[in-house]
Amino acid sequence: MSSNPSPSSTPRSDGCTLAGALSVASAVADGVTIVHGPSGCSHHHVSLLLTSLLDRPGARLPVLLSDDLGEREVIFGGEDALALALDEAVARSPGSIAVLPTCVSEAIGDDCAAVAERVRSVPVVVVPVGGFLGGGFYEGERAALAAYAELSARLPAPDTGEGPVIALVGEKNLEYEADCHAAEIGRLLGLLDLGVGLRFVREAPTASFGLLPRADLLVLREPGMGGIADCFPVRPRTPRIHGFPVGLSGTLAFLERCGAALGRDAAGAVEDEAGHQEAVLARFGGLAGARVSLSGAPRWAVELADALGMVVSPAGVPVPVPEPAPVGTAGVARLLARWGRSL
Amino acid sequence: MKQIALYGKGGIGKSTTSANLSAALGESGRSVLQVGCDPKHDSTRMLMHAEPLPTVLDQVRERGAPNVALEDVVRTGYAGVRCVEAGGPEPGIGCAGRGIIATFQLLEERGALEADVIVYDVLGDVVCGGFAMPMREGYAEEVYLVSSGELMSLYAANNIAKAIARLAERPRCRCRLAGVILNAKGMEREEELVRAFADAIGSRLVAAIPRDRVVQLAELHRQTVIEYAPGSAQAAVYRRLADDVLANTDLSIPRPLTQDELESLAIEYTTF
Repeated sequence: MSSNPSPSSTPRSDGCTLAGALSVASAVADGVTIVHGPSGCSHHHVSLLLTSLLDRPGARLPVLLSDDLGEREVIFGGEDALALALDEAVARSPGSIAVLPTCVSEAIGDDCAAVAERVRSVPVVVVPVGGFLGGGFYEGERAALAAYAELSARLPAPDTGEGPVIALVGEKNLEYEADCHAAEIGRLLGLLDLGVGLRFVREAPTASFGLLPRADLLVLREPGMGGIADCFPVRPRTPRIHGFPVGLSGTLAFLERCGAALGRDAAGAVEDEAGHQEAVLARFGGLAGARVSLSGAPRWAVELADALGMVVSPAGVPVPVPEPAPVGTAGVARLLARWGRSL
Repeated sequence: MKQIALYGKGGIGKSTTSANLSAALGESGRSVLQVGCDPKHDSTRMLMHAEPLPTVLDQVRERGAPNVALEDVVRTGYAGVRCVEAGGPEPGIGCAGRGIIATFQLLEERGALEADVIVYDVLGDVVCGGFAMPMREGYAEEVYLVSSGELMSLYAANNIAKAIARLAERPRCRCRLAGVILNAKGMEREEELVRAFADAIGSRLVAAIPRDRVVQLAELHRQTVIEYAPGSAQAAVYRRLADDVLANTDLSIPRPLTQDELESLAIEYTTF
């Protein structure tokens, strides 16, 4: 038996705050990211990014610069090195520049914000990350989202015409199926004659962030992001959906919530999606009666097994239940394919 | 070779004491190296007659460490004392402690740390690991605490005693407390207090340097007291200190005081 985990099961959200912040900053389509620290800090994380890009043939290579701090900069301060890196970044005419401090620069107290303020021609965000300050990947990711949200308040809102603006917030950019998940959200919103107006932040140009303050609905990647959304410069009481839809009933509930949030009748969309789910289940009808073990699995997985007529038993065959969970009905279909291979 | 370090609160007179100690040792015919470990780089100013001394870190910044030669950073001052200043970053930026570490590495790599006596004059307090480096890495084997009778000065001295006690627990650390030097401010019962402090931490008062206007006059003339007023009583005090330092084998691991103990001691010797 191969011991290689499947790509969707490979953890990519471990690592330090810098890795988390980099996963967001490098996803700004027209952005340049400066890692303000020793070159090794960049190398490690760029390796991770490039590995994840292997899953997406033709994907854009992010522009990442390191200002290569060494002992000299540790002793005398790294602000001059950062200023030079900012000059180089500006010369590339990006939509925005992200400055990510590292442990070293935070320890010696470089004032990155002051250096960044000297740049007038391009918006610069400084994401306060330094691994030794505590937290991990998720804290870095959230800090970057907060920094770009703050920037969004200073940007003009692009003209998107009529219709509500729906923002996907906090997509997991290193997630194997991130684009599949977004496509599924788009398909579901399409059932309500809606669409994704902003992907905050995934392959979106800086100018599009100006949509965030006028968003009509925030769809958060996971429930835990509610706290970070609290500091977004959105209108008061902008509705939020706390988490991408998971499982059969979760997907239908997502449609209902979207409809309720935007004042649309979702009954027809729910009915259509329920029919689609029936069709998906029918494709995997051969799994009915199979004995599976779902020890410790979340409710949606048990619901899925029940819907297929599978027998859930501790003595059954263990089947994968990935975390984070696959999104929507399309995610259910991919998962059932994996279950089928496991049995 | 004897390697000593003078630590104490900023402004307490470490550099004046170090320079006069080095001058007295130099006059006695010994080879002496004084290393100023303070970003304000004025430790050797009197020995050098205020001639600007290129600091190690300035040279590193301008030329890069591999291109810095000993002759770029070592100058010979009064009584043949070789002088080095570590220097440091501009105030408010960078890490001066790391600069001290880099300075010692550079000096050691180039074989500069050779003399009958090396005197390290270190920044006011052990503010971080970098400034503990002379003690930690075996450069300063004998540490003298320079203090007046002021509470804050004793507080700083006690803190350094804590650092020595902590470092002394490490098997390869040879650093020990060699004594306390009183650089007097002229307070009542000051010598009694500092002697009591030295006893309380398990050490002894090595020298009591009185407050004397000749120190200021010598500095105004850009000289050590040893050079400016060689026949003065103050110069004699520094020479006695030099003799005592050379003869001193009474090294200890200090027992630092608690804050309450320190304050009680200060109150005991304060005249209200």
